[in-house]
Amino acid sequence: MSKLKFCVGNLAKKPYYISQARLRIYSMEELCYFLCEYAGLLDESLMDDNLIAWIDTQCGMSELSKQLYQYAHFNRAVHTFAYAILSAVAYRPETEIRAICQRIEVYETLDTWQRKKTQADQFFKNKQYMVALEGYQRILLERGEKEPLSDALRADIYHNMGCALAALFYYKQAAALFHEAYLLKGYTTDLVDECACMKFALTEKEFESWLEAEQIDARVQGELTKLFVSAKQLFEQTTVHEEFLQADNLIEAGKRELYQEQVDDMIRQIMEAYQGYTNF
Amino acid sequence: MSDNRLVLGYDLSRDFIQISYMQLGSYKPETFNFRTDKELYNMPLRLAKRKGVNQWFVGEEAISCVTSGDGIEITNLYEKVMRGDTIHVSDGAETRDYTSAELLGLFIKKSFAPMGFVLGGKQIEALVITMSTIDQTFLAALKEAAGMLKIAQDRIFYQNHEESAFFYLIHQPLQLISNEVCLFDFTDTFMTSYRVTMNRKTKPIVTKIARMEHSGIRKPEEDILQAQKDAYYDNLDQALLKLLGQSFADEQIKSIYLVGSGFEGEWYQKSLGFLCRDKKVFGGDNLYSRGAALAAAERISPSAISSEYVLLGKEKLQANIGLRVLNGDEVVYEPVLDAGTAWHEAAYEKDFILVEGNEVEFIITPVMGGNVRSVTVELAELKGRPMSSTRLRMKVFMEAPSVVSIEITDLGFGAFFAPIDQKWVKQIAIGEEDE
Repeated sequence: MSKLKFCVGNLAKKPYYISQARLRIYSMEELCYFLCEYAGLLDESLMDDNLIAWIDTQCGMSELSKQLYQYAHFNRAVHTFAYAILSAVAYRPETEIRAICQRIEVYETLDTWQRKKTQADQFFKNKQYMVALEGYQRILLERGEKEPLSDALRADIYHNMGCALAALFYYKQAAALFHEAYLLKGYTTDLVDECACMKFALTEKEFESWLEAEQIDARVQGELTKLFVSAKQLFEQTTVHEEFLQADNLIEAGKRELYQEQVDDMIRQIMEAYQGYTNF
Repeated sequence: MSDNRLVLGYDLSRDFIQISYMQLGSYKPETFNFRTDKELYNMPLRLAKRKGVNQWFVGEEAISCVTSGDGIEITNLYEKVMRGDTIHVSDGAETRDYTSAELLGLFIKKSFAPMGFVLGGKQIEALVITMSTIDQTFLAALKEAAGMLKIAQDRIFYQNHEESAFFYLIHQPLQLISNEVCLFDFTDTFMTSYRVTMNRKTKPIVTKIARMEHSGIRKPEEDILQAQKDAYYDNLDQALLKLLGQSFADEQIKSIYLVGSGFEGEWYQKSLGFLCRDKKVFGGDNLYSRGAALAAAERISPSAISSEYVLLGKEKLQANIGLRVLNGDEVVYEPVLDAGTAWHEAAYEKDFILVEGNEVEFIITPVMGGNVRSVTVELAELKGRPMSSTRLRMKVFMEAPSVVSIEITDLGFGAFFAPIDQKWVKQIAIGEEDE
């Protein structure tokens, strides 16, 4: 059975711009969604007087804004600030709110670079790949200058950058990063991911030549095959696959116009999703 | 301070209007007398324009203006409003088209002019306009006409005669309304009766008013010869007596109200004698306008009396409609439309967050017995959104007495999820099982 809840506060006429996530929000519920889904990004900059004023004047939550002002100026704990907002809106059950705020509290104890990595990971998790890439590059350059990064951390960053680039169809660049991650950590999965990217980047013949040149062994090639089989099976369970089948049926039935409409709509959705990946 | 605040009841009939007014909180409405030299509570629904100038007259002044040859009358204004006519006015010097709503507004505005000393310096808190029946076309014109008044539009209300009678009766002494009440209306050509039953076993007290038209009881033609009049009325008295005998066979009715110009004179002595044997009988012309004034007061400042009663009629919603909604961790009942609401006033609009699932369930609870049922609006196109990331705008309203319309729109979720281009619409028949 579905569940509904009351909206809390007003729909804002003027949005609030959250610079950490490069997003505009228009309601208390959107603010709560940001707090829950972007917990890794949260730092003291959340406790901004402009946000508090927006909650008061645009959303009409005067009592909450007074409470938040106290937290921002005297308490300075991000998790307390977030808890007050999430509770006031009752956005999730109490147990979930506490769990989220406990995560935020843990993030507050991380050092600067761990927090930057967490923030870049958050953008990666939310498919804001360009922003994530920017964050990872900054860590590699700035942190790398001051003190060396551990192999494990570097490998993690290379791996995530590889995934982000692959999602943006930069397969050769992604393959190079997976290769670097493999060299650092020796995980076969990174090697398999490198192969997968090259398979997309090259023609079949070129890929065969590449496998030989790189001396990719049978075991890895076997894992690559399994990966593609598994990916195909997963894809066949998605609504996108269902839409492809429907489009096929339309073309077989001679309904060219409907087919074209369906395909145009699917392409538009893919383009919109891609745009989201590349937004700054 | 209540001294300065008035409410108004405006009875709008085919041939006349009547205005009652009341100080807020007094519950003692008075009906305005349009003449100082005699009793004239009804202003004829007549509108005239003086030739050559932009000057308009209403009521008896309009009649005088036309009779003297100075003016042009807008004939049959009521019927023209019913039809939504455009009215062409040409007085020799000027020719112009008016909408019937414009002219109705002009009439209504000018009809208040004689009340200057009553209304001067007072704050009009609410106005209820009452008519025999509420017709959608006429209502639209009336709302447009009322826009010309200097009263806030959300303080102007519309109701039929049954509802005005209801508000009048509930403010009568309890001993007069503890049993069934009957109202005979002989304003128009044919008699209409209203039988009022109040079920005092329910809380609130459910009141129903059954209306009947009596084609056998009609006023004589205007050109009837004097010699024939006595015989006509004698027969009419007999016919009325017979009707009363049939109406009161079960003897539940103890209070009778005789309303309308048709009861002027003494033609119904036999009928009156029958009624007065064991019933209380009241006569008058201003029941509806006074009831409308009382209704206006109740709209602004509901009294303890009105909260004890609910009126159900064919123009009223016969069921409570609601939703179950999360308030924090608790599930609560959210009333959407209340039983007893006039269909043309039924409106609800609110935003909700869809926490999980993709359907909205409405609960329909009839007030006169019958099973509680639920009606679900499927939001099939909404898929793939995480929990609590969909803002829905819900509008519920009625376009006809027994049909509730639901419209749900996806507002998306800001920068996170764009709204889908879809409006879900469902209509629920109240009083019948949903298909």
